[in-house]
Amino acid sequence: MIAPDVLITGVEPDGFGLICAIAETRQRRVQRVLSVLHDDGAVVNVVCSRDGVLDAHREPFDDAQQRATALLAESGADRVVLYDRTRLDDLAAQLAAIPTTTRPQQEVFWANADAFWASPAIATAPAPPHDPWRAVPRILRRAEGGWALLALYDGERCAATLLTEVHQGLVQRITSLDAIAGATRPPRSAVARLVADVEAHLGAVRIALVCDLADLAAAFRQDDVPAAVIELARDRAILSRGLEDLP
Amino acid sequence: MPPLTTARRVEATPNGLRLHDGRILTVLSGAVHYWRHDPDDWPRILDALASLGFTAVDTYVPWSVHDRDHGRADFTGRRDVARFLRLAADRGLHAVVRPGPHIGAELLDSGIPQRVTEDGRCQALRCNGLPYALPTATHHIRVPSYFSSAFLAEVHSWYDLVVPQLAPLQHPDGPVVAVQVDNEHGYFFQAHPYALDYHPEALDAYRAWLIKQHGSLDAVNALYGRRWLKPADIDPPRDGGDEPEVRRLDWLRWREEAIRITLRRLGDGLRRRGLDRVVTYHNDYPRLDTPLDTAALEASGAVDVAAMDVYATRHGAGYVAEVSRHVAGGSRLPWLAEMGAGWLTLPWLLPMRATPDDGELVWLTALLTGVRACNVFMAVERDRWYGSPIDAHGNVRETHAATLRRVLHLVDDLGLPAMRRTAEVLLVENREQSRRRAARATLGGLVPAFAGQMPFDFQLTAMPHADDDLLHRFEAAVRRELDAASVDHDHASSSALPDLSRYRCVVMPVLDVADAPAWAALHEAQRNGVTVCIGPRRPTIDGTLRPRAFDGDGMVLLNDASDLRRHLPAPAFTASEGPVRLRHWSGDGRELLAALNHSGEPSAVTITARRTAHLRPRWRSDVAGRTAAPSFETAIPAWGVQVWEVGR
Repeated sequence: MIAPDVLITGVEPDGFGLICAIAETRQRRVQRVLSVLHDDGAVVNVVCSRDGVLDAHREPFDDAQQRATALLAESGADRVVLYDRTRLDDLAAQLAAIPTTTRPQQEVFWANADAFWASPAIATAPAPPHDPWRAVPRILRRAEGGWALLALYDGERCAATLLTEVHQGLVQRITSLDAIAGATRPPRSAVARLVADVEAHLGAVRIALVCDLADLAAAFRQDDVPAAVIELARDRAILSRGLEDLP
Repeated sequence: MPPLTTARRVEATPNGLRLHDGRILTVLSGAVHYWRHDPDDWPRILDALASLGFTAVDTYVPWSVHDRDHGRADFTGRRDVARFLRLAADRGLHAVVRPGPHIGAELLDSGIPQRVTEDGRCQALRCNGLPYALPTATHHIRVPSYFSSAFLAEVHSWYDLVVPQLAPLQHPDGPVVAVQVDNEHGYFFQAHPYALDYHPEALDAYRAWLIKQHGSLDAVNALYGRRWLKPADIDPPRDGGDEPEVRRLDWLRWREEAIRITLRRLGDGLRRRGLDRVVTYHNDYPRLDTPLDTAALEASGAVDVAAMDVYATRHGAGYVAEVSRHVAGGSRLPWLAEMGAGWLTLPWLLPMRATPDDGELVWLTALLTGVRACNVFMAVERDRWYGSPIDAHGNVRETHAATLRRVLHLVDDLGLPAMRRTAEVLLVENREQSRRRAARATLGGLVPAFAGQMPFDFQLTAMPHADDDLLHRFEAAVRRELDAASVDHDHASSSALPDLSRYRCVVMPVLDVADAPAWAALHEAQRNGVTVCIGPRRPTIDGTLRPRAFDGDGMVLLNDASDLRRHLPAPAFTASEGPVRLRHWSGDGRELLAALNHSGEPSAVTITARRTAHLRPRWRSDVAGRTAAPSFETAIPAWGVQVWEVGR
């Protein structure tokens, strides 16, 4: 999603900080994941993402997938992951074979996750998770050859802007309205000026989401943030462009 | 190549850097990345830096930015580092330079040219022989092996290019007073003992070191119960299940030593080429146990100063205090070579927001807990960084700069560098005990560098043991006793103890193992009047896990950490129970008291003086001064700090 040589300059310290603070709320959400390390069914370690090392759930087993399903029911965890240490060398080799210098970083992370969940060394319940963030490249394609604009309002005040230039499906540049000479963040009543200013100085705005700060924060509290953001663009945005008709 | 010279004109002292004329320079530097700015902005940027009270500019000199293929480099235009440094000197700023080879700095290649990291001969290897991928700011690199002769040849060719740019600018001919020897080298943020480095040349070095440690291959065989016929047969441990345990402990010792060997080689490479009149230093990420060992690194002479880095919001201020205690206890110049201001703008370490209020608590916590040199990273905003006190064009951003300016002026106004913090207790990390815990790790072939690289619970790598919990509870109880008694302390590792005569009480947790030289040092200190406390058990085995009779006569065995209280020295000031922690400084006929609240709630606190004191506020106007005779009540705001000048 992000070009390795992306240029990120002129972001608004307070505005970018607000966006970070919204995103940070997601980072603090920790699922209760039970991880079991075993040697072909002989358990060697059990840890919980919230509670640390557990003495429980150490009975040996024959079928890892069945054990994962059973543990999910008996432990009350959000997810159970079983790692078979005797087969992890193959997973390590697969991970090392993923080309890291010819692909954008996020794609490498996703390829890592795919290899992890597909590995015979890993058993999990429920089924491997769907990562909603994989929708982002599809959204970014809407901005191809131009700019994506995010602006957040706190009442009448424009509290943050973020401008992202997209080429060949990758974010090439990130900046903010404050970095544009002569442009200022307009009050809510003059919101149309936002897009006009960006287009006058930088180029076409292909997608835009201008919304209340609180609405974006609420979208980030959803499990599927990209879907929630599209819904926000459709239903509650102060201004949106190029997002409303996304499925 | 000229021979190594030991003649230096700049020296590290406990108060700062001694310059050629004997003046002591307090290193308060601000990080600027010259190549990321228009050279026309350099004068304004440096003016802004000086106006905030910084005494020096700090900059990387990134290999990959200057590299133009083998043997050629570009030092023109925005890459003209010498011009940048001369402009700094024109403004009275000293300079700290950091030529790598590893940089980081949110560069996509971490500062190492891709042709080097993609060269299989240069790559570090995991225990399963696979290369190790490290996510950089926006990409990945295959991390290099610092024992690869191919990699070292590349590094030396870089040094051949960069040192001639920097050496003529050494103090007193130019502004450069210190040079960093590699950046955050410690296995590229990977503490797992069996993740790195199994490069063939690294293993050759390990084998040679091992035989030297034990005297002969026969001795190694006897200790490990092996029948290796030649050194090349020596097989390093690759997992916490590999037996015998002493083999794994030696591997962990080797990993610590390998860092020292590497940095000594790199430092020698810089010195031999002419960067030989300034202080050398290394800084690593803030980890206090194996494989990092800052005090041992400094004691080995590999670098003059072993520094550390901290990035934290207010929630991490308590850990900043721990790191500060560690460098205060173990370094000749306690130096935080990176202390965050603002934060990077990239998603893999986001989301994170660091505000000027976070900075106030973190900066003051560090400086009031014994840090005597620091570098604000980044003082000047640039690509991939936001929230710095100076923008990318050199404009002071007053909302972000005001607090920092006050902090820098406070250090100067109070004369802090000439004073000493009262820390009469030393808390020692029992490194042998820590290694035993770390050596049980598993999954070294798989463990990623960072969470987010793949779905993986790092907790799985640490194989649990009942002793871990016992030791952890004892150490936590010791810290609680120190806090409850308002006794500030330093921290050190048993592998490189400081001069113990500086302390009235030394505490080292022990379960079963102790390092014989460290024990001898503790015993000597005890005989010289220092109260030495150990617990919850006495050691019975040494670092080779052989039974040993440790003479503990006169030492205090703390079966229960709460017994520590009666052995602690009486502090000049005490705070009532709660989250407020005190720091006391004295010297030059003056005294300071500081109160730090590392909690999110305002805290009412009663401060009691051992003898009558008049407190004059020096930081906040909303926390008044009073006469403590014998005590007074005050309130420290949430995440707040107050500093008082003490009159008697």
